[in-house]
Amino acid sequence: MSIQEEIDNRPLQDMSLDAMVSWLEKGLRGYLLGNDGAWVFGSTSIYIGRTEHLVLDFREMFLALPADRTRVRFREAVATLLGRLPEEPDSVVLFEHLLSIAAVVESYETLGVIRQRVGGGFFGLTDNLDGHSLFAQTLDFVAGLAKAPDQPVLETLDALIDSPYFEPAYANLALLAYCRADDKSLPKHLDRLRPYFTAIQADRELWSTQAAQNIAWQVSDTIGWAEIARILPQLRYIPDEPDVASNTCAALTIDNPLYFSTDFWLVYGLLKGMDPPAGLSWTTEGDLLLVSTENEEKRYPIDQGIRFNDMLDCFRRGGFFTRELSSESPPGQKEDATNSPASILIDASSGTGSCIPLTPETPVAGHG
Amino acid sequence: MWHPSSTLDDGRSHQKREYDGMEEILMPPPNNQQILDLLLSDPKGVVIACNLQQSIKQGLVTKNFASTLVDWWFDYYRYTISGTTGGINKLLDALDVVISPTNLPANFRPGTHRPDFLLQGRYPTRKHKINDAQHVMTFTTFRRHVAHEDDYKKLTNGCDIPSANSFTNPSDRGIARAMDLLQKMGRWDCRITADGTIGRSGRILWFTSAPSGSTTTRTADEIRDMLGMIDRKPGNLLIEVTLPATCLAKQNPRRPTAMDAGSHQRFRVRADGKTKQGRKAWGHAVDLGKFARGEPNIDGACERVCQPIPATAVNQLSFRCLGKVTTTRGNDANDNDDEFAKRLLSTCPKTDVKALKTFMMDLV
Repeated sequence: MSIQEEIDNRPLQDMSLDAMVSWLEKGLRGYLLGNDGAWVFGSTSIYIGRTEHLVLDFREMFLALPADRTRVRFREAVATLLGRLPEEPDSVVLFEHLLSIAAVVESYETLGVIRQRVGGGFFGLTDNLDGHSLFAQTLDFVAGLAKAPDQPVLETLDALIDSPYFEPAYANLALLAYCRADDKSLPKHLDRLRPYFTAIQADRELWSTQAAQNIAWQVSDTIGWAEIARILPQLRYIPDEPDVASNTCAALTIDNPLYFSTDFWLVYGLLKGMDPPAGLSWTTEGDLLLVSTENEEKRYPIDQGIRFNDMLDCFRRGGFFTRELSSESPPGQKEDATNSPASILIDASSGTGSCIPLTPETPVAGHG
Repeated sequence: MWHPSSTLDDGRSHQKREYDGMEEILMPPPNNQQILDLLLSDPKGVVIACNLQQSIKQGLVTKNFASTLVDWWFDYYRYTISGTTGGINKLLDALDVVISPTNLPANFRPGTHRPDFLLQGRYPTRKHKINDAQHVMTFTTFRRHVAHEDDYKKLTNGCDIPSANSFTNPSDRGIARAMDLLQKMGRWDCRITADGTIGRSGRILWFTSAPSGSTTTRTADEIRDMLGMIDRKPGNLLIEVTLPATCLAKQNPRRPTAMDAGSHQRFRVRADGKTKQGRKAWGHAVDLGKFARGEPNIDGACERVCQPIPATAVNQLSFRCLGKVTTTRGNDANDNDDEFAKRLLSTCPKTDVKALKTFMMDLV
């Protein structure tokens, strides 16, 4: 039975993988590069032209397939063809469409192909806008697959970030994709992407403090406040390079080189900024708490991590302790009747510009 | 390989299929009467027939032109179902293929020129001033096929949503947050990518012209409703683009006809408002919310169609995120296809299924 007759009898359902790959390639080449109309896709042509783009037509076609082996084979066919396309300029448009189709049908099978081809190939064919666009589409696709802990997604993200086509502007998308695929390793993800965040410092047209705050909101929504409280003392508050370390005493604004070269931008977005998702508070025992702005009942103790002192120093110099916060015991902690909630005001002005280490034991203006 | 009709010894029309030298005799294809019965047995078909009738009555197309469409449509349906089972969905699909400008199979009516069925609505006698207009697309289309990459990198302000996650309600709270933040950003300017178009290339672009600021306080659901976009489902993230009048004027804008709508299931040619019936430069979408609530007047936003706008025709355009669609339309007993067909029949003067059949028979 010919491929065409297979399609006519039962569109795609009884097709072998090889037949499906041939059908897909013939269809896309005929439709995108030739003068063939929708009918080049055989009886599945009824799906072509229904939506605002060919890629979304394919999504409708995919959703109409029975949720069984046929869908798996369809996704495999997309991956197989992506891996098989010759690296020539004429195939770029096919590559681009196949990537988009892989995204809308969530073809995890394509991740391996991406890892193989991202180092060059199609991405090296063009050094103009189209080439960059192709890389952005690939990152967009992989980020879309990052929904839960997922090692292949992490490995593919690593491969994309190591590619010469990765740009600082993509760092936010990559960070959030990392967080979705591994929500327990934010410090590691930030280490991985820090060179790109540092580069943003020099190209401030890309990000404003508002952008940083928007990312902070998304990070907190993605990994949760308990995790944020756990890893806050593990973040980087002082850079390794001694020449910029001298700036640590300066005010931490976006003009300070430390803003994006350390993790200050994220911490600032989380705890300060125009509309911070969280604030800080102390228990009467002197433990530091993270308090959700949206629900002040949600309070999480901040761990004593390896950079706890750096963190407190950063909080102080960043002016994080200027808000009036009520002092309450964290959830689950037995509240002492003598430690009734009390208002405390922590003044940052006394510490601005100094490098005095601040620990929970250090007297803090207004505390207690 | 399928062959066009030939004749058996007893005079019945039939088709045959050859495979590996074998020849198979197949059932005779349906005649026009049978196709018409199939069409009018389904509410979707009734809607199309009503709109064809109104396109002629309101002077948008001639009867001859409508007749030509039906001739191509029914014949292509016969061609596509050769050897297989037909049905209303295949009949509607055949309409969409015939009206689209993509090529038909080479062995269907070879050597015959197919007329252009899209953008053929007549202009009104008086000229209408064209104002800036709006078009609504999905975020995925904007991200992947419209936005210039260099501009996109700057405009998202930290809210870069993977396009695959913009179809359904996100399970990830971070993405849901990004959608909300993107909506709060207001308008942004963005160039179109080099090979991009506003509207699907080779098809038509639908646009509306809402009074300035009138859509800024509306939700994505409300805008979806007033534009009759029944295929937008919960979770779809919508983006609005403003189209400059100077650009639209060059794209052959027209009032939409039944041909432009194809098998779209919430389109109608005849508006409820009497003043709008006279305003022939614009059609009016069906307001899905008003229809679901059973309101007597279900006119939505005004609408027109034109050729898609290529990147070369504009420098940069203004975009805005409308937010997520949260509700579904068209699935309830009070707003399904059947109810809409009844509604069209009841509001078109002297029209019932019998009269519609007479009208369509006249066309075929």
